[in-house]
Amino acid sequence: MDNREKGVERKIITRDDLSKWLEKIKGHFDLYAPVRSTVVNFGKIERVDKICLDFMNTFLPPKVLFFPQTEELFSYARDSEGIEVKRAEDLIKERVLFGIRPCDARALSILDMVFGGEIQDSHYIEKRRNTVLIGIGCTESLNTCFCSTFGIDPLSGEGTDIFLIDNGGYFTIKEVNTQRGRSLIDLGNTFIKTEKVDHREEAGSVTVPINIASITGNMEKVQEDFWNNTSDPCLSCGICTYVCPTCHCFDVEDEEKKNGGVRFRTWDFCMSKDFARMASGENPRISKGERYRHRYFHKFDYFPKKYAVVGCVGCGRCISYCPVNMDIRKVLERIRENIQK
Amino acid sequence: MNNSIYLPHIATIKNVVEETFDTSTFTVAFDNKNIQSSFSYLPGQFVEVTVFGKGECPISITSTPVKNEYLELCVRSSGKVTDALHDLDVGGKIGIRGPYGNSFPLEEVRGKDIILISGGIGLAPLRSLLNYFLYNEDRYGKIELFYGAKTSQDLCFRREYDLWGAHENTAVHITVDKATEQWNGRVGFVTELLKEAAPSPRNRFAFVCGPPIMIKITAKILAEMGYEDSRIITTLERKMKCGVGKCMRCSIGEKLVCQDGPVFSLRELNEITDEFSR
Repeated sequence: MDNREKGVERKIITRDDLSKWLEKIKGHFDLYAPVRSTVVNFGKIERVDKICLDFMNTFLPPKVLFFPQTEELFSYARDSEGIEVKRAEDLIKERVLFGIRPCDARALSILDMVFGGEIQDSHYIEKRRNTVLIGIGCTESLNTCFCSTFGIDPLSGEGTDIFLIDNGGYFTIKEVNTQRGRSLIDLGNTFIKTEKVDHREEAGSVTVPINIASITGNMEKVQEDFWNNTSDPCLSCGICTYVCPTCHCFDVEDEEKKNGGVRFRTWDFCMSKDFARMASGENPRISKGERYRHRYFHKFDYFPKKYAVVGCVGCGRCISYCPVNMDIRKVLERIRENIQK
Repeated sequence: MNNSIYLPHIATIKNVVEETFDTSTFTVAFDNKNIQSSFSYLPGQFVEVTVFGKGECPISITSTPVKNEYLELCVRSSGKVTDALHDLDVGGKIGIRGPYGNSFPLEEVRGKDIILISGGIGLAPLRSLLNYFLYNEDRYGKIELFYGAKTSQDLCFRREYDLWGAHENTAVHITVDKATEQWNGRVGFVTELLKEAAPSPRNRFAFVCGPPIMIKITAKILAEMGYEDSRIITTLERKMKCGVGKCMRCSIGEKLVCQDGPVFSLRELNEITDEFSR
């Protein structure tokens, strides 16, 4: 069935011209885009022809560009006078992130609330401020995608500066949302054309939405033994938190070098047995069930209470990479059933 | 660009007093005099202490904000950072950032009688509060301290009990779990001491700090005595890294001990569906 709208006027850019536009962008900004090695990840682009456009989503979420897996916070130097500390020099050059998906754009808006707010985490905030986002809509989806559960539209560019739809031979410029986005469009004005096209805009089919409203706010009703039972297969390996676009727990450590050293932070995960263990030996979440409960509560109870947003975006990465095939959608369904008991 | 909430200020250890075999009180002052004089805090707040090369940990401030010349930190040697801190001598350089967290409800308890119940190193944050009350005696009613430790060797701030007790309208009750030769005082758990004294809940607030199990038992006893859960105040310890609500280490239910605490009323804790109430 041909469901194209015939002869509609759209701002478009052909695939060839897209490369030229990105080349031009690269002349002004550091450009990050999906690159394929063994998996597809966001990487700094040296050659535009290395950009992978044939991707569903990246292995690691774009949080890596704002909240890297390890990040220096400051260095310290010792001399006879004492100790001096110096903040890590962070990104100064403005950069463009090309290819972010709607779920991941939502995830960044969630992380903005965590790292922003009254006490600003400048290490994250500065990188965010210096990055322009070009999103691409999802006209195809993975069978692990369930963004619509969280009200995310795979064809909406919420949270992006520019939003494109891949129409095969060309991309439609669907949204230009900010002044920074408009400046980038200006850079490409010789390539972007307004044309009458036979337009197709159809989202990939994602998992039927889970009734999340019946879960958030009712999590306390879930029976105690549910968490022990449900978490039984979990290996506490932490991959779900590493690939999660909203997980932001971190550890802080020092590395001593000659006459000084650095303090850095590094991703950590709440499923780790020692995550909350205190020096006294006390551990508030001693069992795997308690830690599993905490993880779900954080996303589906604490996040809504604190920030009025669910801490999951339905990207499905945790489903794809779990070594024992734990599926957050199934757990949510079981939570829903348990609440109704 | 140069600002980071994680950047500590350099401070120097000015004095060390050995409290017990593993616990000492460090007097520290910021090297930058402007930072020292403008550093204001309230009883109940904590700082993140850095031993460079070892890391950082949260320590409650045990001094009282009446003099801006120094801070006192009572620290037990019990982990990587605190062990390293104990290895430093007077003149040693550390890092400090803060103060963080909320404070004890100083205004809410104005005009009220106060009991402070404490075990072991749990006296450290309550000492800040106790001295605050004593400096502002006219604002508060009767102040009573119930304090216990395993043995007399484990009692902190021994040199100060007489000073505290000398204040008018103040009483200090000390007990040890197990008597040793040098001890002629009271023997028994601090909870038993409290039960015997049975201070009336009328017009009175209770502040509790000690090991988690001691806090739980004490809270239960106080509730049985008729204390409302909003008048039982405690301060919690949790594993912390950032101290500013980002790293999620110290979460207890939807609350973060570093931001929403460390001071909570029992009422607040009972509202949290988390391991504390279970």
